[in-house]
Amino acid sequence: MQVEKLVYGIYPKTNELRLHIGRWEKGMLPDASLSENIESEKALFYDLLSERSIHHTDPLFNWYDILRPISLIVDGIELGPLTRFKETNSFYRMPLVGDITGISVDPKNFSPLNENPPLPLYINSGEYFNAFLPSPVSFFKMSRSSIPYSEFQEKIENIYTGILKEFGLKSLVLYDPIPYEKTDVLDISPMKDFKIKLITTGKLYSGNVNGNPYSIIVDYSAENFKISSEKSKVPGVKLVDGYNTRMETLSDINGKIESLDADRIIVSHSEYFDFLPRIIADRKLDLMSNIGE
Amino acid sequence: MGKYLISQEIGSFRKPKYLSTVFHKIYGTEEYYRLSEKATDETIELLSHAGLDNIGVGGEMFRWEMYEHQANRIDGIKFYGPVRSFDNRYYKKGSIVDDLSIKESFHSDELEYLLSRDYDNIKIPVTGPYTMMDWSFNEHYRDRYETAMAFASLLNGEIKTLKRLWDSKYPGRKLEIQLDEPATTTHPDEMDMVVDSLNKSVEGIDNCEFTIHVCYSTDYRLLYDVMNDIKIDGLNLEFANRDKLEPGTSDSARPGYEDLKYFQQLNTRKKFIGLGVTDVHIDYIEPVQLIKDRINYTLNIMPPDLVRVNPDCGLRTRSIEIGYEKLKNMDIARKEILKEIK
Repeated sequence: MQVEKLVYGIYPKTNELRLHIGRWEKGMLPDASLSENIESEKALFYDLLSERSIHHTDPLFNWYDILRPISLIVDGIELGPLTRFKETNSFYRMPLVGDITGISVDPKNFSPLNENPPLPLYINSGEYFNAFLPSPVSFFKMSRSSIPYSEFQEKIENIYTGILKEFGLKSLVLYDPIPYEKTDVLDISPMKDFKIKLITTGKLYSGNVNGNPYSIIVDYSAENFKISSEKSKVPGVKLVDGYNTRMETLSDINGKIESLDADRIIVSHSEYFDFLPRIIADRKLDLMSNIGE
Repeated sequence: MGKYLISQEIGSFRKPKYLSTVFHKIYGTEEYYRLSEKATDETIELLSHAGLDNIGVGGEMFRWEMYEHQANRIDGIKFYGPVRSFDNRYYKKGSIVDDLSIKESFHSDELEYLLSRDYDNIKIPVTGPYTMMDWSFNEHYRDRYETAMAFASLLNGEIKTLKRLWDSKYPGRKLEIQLDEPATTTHPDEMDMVVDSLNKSVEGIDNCEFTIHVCYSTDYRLLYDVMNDIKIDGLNLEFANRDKLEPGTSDSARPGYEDLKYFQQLNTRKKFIGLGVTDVHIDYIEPVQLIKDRINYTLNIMPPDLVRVNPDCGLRTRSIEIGYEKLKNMDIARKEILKEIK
């Protein structure tokens, strides 16, 4: 079986970068200098991955939460109250969604933002790189919106398409941290030109996804994996715990992989690694590099 | 009249720089105690000047963070490094790697100091068992319930220790303990665990006033549904953060407080509400009129003897000056309302 590994979302920062951001928050470090610090840290992160053939997104060191930069660059979305992220002790600023009309800030180049470190959204690392964006379903559920979901989805997917074209990117990780209800539908058919890896959370229902994602990466269960296999080209499964410092063993993970019926799979983690101390995230990254070897 | 609209703080207050800049370096040393005591006195003076009836423990100057302070004093917890809470704020999240036991009392040193200074209008915040469990990585216990109950046993012992100290100074008087449980409603299917672990924490302890503090919940109704099963006297909650800034006492003007109708429908045991009337995450100083509107809206739902006023949460994220101004306006607002009630 061919195993592709994927690391996605916000990765924990080094102490040094935390200190830089702290100084920036206090007005002691200019935007441009912080941007350089972030770029250097991203380069180190990419170095960490380069010899391991791990597919990845930008580590998003300059994203305060997975919705914030998008909220800040889209006309028609404002930052709302600090809100608990799912059941964790982490918080995000709830987007207040109104009439979405377009993007007002250049996402590709250096651009200072209020209440978030400066852009660019991503720094492309090359062959194994994927863009990262929150799935419209979770984005909507984590927001307070004055427009219905169908309208939100259409408009935000237009925005996403524009961002990806601006960066010249074809591969995209769409992340859904909020579990689907049976009636939820993510329609990605308007984004059919992109190779989408959709990461879902919780139980997946066969009617939840319209379109043809390259992969649907699911929580580990036979039912979820069956749907992932039926609805995407390469099924995917989360086998590394992003919520616990307890280390998985390689034999356990490889045993689970062997139990799955597929020629090719994507293996990823249950939540982005920013919920772990950096040292543990690095260990789990090491572990992931050996999966399937 | 004194029992109406009692004003209180919730816990933390911004530390003076002379303490915050050296806190970790001097932690546990004589210098730590000297500076923590000095900062406690200064903060109590400020809180008293702002008009608070209850001065808590003087802004938690002995503590860096609500989880870390307690976890540091428990055997069986290992720290691998900080974990982000939001923006560039971090906390130390411990991993449970062995059976838990108390290494050192969490708050005796703080209480001993307050008693030595004859402060008696105090309320001691103690991070609750469910939150301690939820905010820890678990590499040891069988499941979350077993972990929460292990923390509850520790807290029960700690509260008994605090009560003994209090009784030695003020025998026969009630000690106020606030169980900080911000994680309470984060797993809707675990409300039974919240109830069991809180009740275990206060088991066998008489002559205390127990409150619970919860903030930034996405659904307080989960808590209201079980509050009558928890052996607590009141709930100190965040509301201002979810409210509008425009004045008014209509439902549409005060969306942040509307849930209180549901609370009061269920409040058969006459538990009081500690009403968060000022947002601790913004520098905006809520005008007196806005705070009055928030209190008056609440008083249309429940009687004044069941309402206390406080900030949403600890004010440590604001500067000392802004924290003071927020509390001052809170005091002016509640005093004006008390006059109107009279």
